[in-house]
Amino acid sequence: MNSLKSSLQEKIAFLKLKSGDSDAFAFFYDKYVARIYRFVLIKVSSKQIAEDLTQEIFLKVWQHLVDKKDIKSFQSFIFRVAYNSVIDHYRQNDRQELPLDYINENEDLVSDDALTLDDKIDSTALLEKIRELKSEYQEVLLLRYIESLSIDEIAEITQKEKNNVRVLIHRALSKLKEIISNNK
Amino acid sequence: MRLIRKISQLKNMAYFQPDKNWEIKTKYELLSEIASQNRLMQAQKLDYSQKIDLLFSTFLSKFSPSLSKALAGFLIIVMGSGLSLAAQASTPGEMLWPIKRSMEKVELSLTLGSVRETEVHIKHIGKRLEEINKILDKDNNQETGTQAKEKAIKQAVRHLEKDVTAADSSLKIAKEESNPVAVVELVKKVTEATKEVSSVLSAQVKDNINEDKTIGEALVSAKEVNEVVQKSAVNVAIEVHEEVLEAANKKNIESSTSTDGLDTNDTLSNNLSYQSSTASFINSVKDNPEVDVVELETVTNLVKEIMADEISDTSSEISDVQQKVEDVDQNELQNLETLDIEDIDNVKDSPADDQILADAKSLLEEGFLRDAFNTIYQVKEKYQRADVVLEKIRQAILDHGTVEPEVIDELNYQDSAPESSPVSASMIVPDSKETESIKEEFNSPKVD
Repeated sequence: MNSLKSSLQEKIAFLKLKSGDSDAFAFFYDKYVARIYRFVLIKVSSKQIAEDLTQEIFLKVWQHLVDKKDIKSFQSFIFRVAYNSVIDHYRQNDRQELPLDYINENEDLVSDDALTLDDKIDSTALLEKIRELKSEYQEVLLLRYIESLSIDEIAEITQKEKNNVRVLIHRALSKLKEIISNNK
Repeated sequence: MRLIRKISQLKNMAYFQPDKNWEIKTKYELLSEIASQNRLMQAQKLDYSQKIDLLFSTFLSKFSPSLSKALAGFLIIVMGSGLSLAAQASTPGEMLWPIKRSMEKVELSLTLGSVRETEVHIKHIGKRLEEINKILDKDNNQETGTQAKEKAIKQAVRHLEKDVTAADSSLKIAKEESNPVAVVELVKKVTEATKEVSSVLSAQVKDNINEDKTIGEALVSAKEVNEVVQKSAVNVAIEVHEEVLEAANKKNIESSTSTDGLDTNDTLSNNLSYQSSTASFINSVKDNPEVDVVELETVTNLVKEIMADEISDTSSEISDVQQKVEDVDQNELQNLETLDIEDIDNVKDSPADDQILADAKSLLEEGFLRDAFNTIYQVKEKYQRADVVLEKIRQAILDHGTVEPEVIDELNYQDSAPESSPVSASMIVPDSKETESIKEEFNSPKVD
């Protein structure tokens, strides 16, 4: 029931946002900033770049929304913008990934209560493996399992067919399993 | 699968949380960037289907579960019962009245859209008037003591003021949400309601001011609130009219400059003419297929009707106040004349005001609606101010049997709250020296 109310809230805010209400924008910023940041960060590995890109993405969202009126869902829209921004960024900058040691040194990781030590080591390793996948696979896995988006939404975001998305996810998972078992 | 679970666990890694300071800083940067972009100005209003969407979502969001909604649901069930019929007949002070009020609240929460909401408020206003009449009905006099009556009236008046103000707010919201014709029709309904309020209250004031001061005062204050709302409603109508004119003018300019860019003189004169007179403007855009002439004409006619009502209203108010001045005149006004009670003096100059009203009428016919509005309300407010002062004088006469200059001062002092007109506040607030000299002057001819 709570989700019904909040999805209605979001719908109302979205309509207000389309008519130029900046309070509605603040509402969406608060709701989505962490997710977009996370999505971008996983892909680009640098906090600085992630911050800059996230800001860019929100600005683009605002500008596009005021121009185009026929967007249905804020969530798919913002992720689409994020998705495209990340791709553009790669095209311009070539892959420049930080070595994964960087994550190990980060204190935040160690202070994470939610995960056991085992899990943490696993997570880092897992991230490493995911990064070995090609970017198409990475993206669908991120969108599906980290951002918990639906197949429909992912299809809209990546501009691919729904079936295509399902196949991609399946293949990504298989490939990932392969990589993991190969390294063990 | 374990793998999937592990992947989704990644999102919990603290590493991926954004820095709080950055988050806040960026938010404000973005908001100020947005504010400075012109896009904000150009953002169009929601189109029709989106408005429906917005309404529907707002409606549904009202139904999300909560304790108060459960209670409302219970009341809906009650509404079908005999209890509700009894509650409908109740007045403030009776046991069932709070139930009636709650049922009204439920009715409000079920309404879709501000137009409907305003209509519901109007309905409630009608109920308040019924209640007031019922409480003050001479036949009921025996059963209820004065204390209880006063309390009940105070409650009824308080809720009347609330409902009237609520009607005003939802009217303003409706202006933003609905099409011009619907809004103006709604204004008509609101002004009809406020007129009824005004006449009921005036009648009751007349009947009761001799008997009970508190009741009289409560009624007068409700009248004042009502007048404010009435003016505001008419103002909404005028604003809608102006907006429709402007939109039509824009369309007219756009379409004529796109077809023949050479005709700049024509468009310029069109531009000027829309500001000068609706009638001639309508004529000039009649043939333009882009402009919604029907809408423009309908809105104009409706607003004209509303304004015509206001004019006749004002002229009857003028005669009422005139009558009151004469009533007071016989007894007391000699004392007051030298004190230069501006407001009452002003209203004596009635032929001039009648002329002003006639002017307003012709402004109205020409289509200068905003100007007519301003003229009418100048006159109206003059008489409303005088009315207020006259009521106080009448009160003072009843209390003291005569009107001493000091009493006038006292009344003025009480009257000098910011809401009441600046004129009466500045009317006479004499220093003691003046009072002394005036006292001396009037020590001789005093009417008992």
